[in-house]
Amino acid sequence: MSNRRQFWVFGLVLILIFTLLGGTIGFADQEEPKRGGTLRVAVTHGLESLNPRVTGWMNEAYNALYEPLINRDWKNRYKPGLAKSWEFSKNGRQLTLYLREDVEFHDGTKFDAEVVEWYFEEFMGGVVQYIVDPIENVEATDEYTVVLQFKRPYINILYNLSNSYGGLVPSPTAVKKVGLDEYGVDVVVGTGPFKLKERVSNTKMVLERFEKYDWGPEWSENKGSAYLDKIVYEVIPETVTRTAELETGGVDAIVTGVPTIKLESFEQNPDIKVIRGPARQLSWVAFNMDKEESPIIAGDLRIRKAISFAIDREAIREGVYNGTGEINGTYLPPMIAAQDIPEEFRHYYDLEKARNLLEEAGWVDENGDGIREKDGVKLSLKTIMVKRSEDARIGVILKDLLKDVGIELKLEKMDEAALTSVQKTGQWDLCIEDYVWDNADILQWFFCSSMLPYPNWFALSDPKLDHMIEEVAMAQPNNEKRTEKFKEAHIYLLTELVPAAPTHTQVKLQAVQKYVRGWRYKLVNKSMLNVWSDK
Amino acid sequence: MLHIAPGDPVVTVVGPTAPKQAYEAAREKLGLDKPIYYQYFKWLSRAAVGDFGRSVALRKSVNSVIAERLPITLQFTSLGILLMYLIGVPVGILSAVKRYSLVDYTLMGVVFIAVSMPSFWLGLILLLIFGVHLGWVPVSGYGTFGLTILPALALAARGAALSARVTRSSMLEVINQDYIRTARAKGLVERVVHYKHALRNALIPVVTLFGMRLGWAVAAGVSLEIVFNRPGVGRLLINSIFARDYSVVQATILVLSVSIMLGNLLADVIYTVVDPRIRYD
Repeated sequence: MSNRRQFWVFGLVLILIFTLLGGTIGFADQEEPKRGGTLRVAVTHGLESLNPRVTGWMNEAYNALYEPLINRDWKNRYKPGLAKSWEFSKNGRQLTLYLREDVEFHDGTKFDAEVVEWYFEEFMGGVVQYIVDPIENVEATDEYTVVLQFKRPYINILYNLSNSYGGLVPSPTAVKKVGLDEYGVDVVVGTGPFKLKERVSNTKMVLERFEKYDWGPEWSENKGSAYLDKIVYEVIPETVTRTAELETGGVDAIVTGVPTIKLESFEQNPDIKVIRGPARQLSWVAFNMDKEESPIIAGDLRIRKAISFAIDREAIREGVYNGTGEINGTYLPPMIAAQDIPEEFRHYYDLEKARNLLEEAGWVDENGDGIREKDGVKLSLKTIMVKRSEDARIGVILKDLLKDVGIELKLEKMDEAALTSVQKTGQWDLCIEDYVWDNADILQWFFCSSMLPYPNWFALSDPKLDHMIEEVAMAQPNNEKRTEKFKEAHIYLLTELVPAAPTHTQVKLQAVQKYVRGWRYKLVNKSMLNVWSDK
Repeated sequence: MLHIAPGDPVVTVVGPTAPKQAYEAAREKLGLDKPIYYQYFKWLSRAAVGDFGRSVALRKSVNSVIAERLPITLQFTSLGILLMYLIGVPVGILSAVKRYSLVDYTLMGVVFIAVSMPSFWLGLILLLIFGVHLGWVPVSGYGTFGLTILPALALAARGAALSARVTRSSMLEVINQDYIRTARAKGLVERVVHYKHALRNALIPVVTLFGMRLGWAVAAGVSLEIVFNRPGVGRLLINSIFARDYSVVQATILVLSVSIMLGNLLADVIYTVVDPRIRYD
């Protein structure tokens, strides 16, 4: 074979290989996003208000409408948002925010330092009051610079300002026009890539593209206006209906409430893609630490430990969550740095240990009915939980598990409003609950005495813990030291106080049609900017 | 009753973590610091002039919320009630006319099954068959005929079965009366005997059933609105109970009660059409 022929054959083979690779893998992800179309998204709850100051429940719609002062990228690292940069003083008591100069609200008004000043001084409060509590002074030093002074080092403000609950900035003009109470019902004005078109309370919400938007965050591939024309959020509370809608193409995505029981069928469905986020919904059995209301539980650390050792967490993961989620035996989800403590401090399943602790505490089954007694009192505990929830299913398993060590549970299932009310009255022994949060400051929220009676409905009051969290951990000038100090407080809670028995941490599940492109899981501030439809 | 149940609408307004002063201020603003009889009479005096107050959970006037939701409920419940009679009465007649035949046994067998099925369960089954597997109609929502027919059928099934049973037994009773024998004796064809002479008299209990079925339809409609994701007054009522949104619960119950009363009134009027001997002097 001549050299020339070899050259041509070699060239042809190369072209063939590149064509094949390019067609199958090389260029598959580099499709040009298409503009246009409507995305229909199913959610479990309606949003009673789109006012970040009022609501305790949020979904992706918030992040499509509003933007935070500080953002987070795909790896959850702090990145510029409406503030293009920031600077902390060395002692952590002053933060200077340098704002973007090219941003405007959906109503055409300008975003500047005056807005941010108003935001901290007048708008913040309600459910997000805790964020502004440590702020001593807010001052706009020029048109696009704001300086915040704190009462104590407040490094965690970066977290709070980059979170949906704290950092979303509405238009002051719009808020003043309708008033703080009315804002968020029909009038919603932010700087996000979508604006509100229509809203039917607790039913549906239609967002449409904000054409002027061209200040997309640096972590976003798309920095201009959104690809989608519209996003329709539909509230579908019934699980069967919600999943049937996805299977029949009635909706394009389910962002909240993908039932684990449908996971296998969704994963086998060639038209559907399942997206798994990190484990962040932590379930626990809370103990009532009020000695007057629950003397058995609050009065003896050994009982609380025994209950925690008697919980077969694998049985809960299999029985309730179909094998999904993680078990780490701590009060913080696995994604939080302060949960990374030595194995010996974590809670685990050990029936023998549980039985020994109960014997040691003087609880024995005297009459042979399977339930332990002490001084004529039965070890019977009132256990409350929300009905029709995973917590209720945990309750059923827990009742069986604790029976094995001679503890009787009296389960009382109720709706959420009733549960909050009963928690506050203190008339309960155990409460099966869960929370979603990704910062160690949740330990202060639930367990410090400054949070009594709510959100510290555990009724825990321990001066040493208060000091460890509020005066030491939260006052650290940098995140590394803050994490170390939170770890110490966390260990103290898990070993010396035990106000709860952790059970399981559930992963975040979402399901979308395959033709929905650019959909990636993002912990916070997912703006829907990169999502497009290839339908 | 709702006031006795644990739960607090003030928490919906100010959030569970609100400071005591903010909580008390909101409680006063909502009038919940006043005695319950005072709250009730105040609500009653406002309701009398058509003002049902404001929803604490939805942050809108109750009137506008109900005006938004009522048509969605009426759409499928009215079709459901219509189907109850369009299906139930002919089945009952056919069964009575062909009594103790294979047709009668088959129809009554189906009726027996339909009576035993809870509406929400039938709704789910219809949704899975026609929505998911066959893909003939959309699974959930409201507005079009395709979206209304399945919840209407699920609502109608049990009522139609009951109407069929009542029509059948009533027809059988009437068919054995002397005047029917007389009609036959004077040589009238069976069709005229059944439909002109027997049916009108047999319909009286069926009309009575209409008034009673309305209340039932409202109750069954609540669960069907959840299954078919229709944001009607039933779903509004359930959500408002969970949110302890007293003003919406009171107004919704009032609206539903008035619609049941109107249904009964309509039944009384229909009596005079079916049986001209009935007069309301």
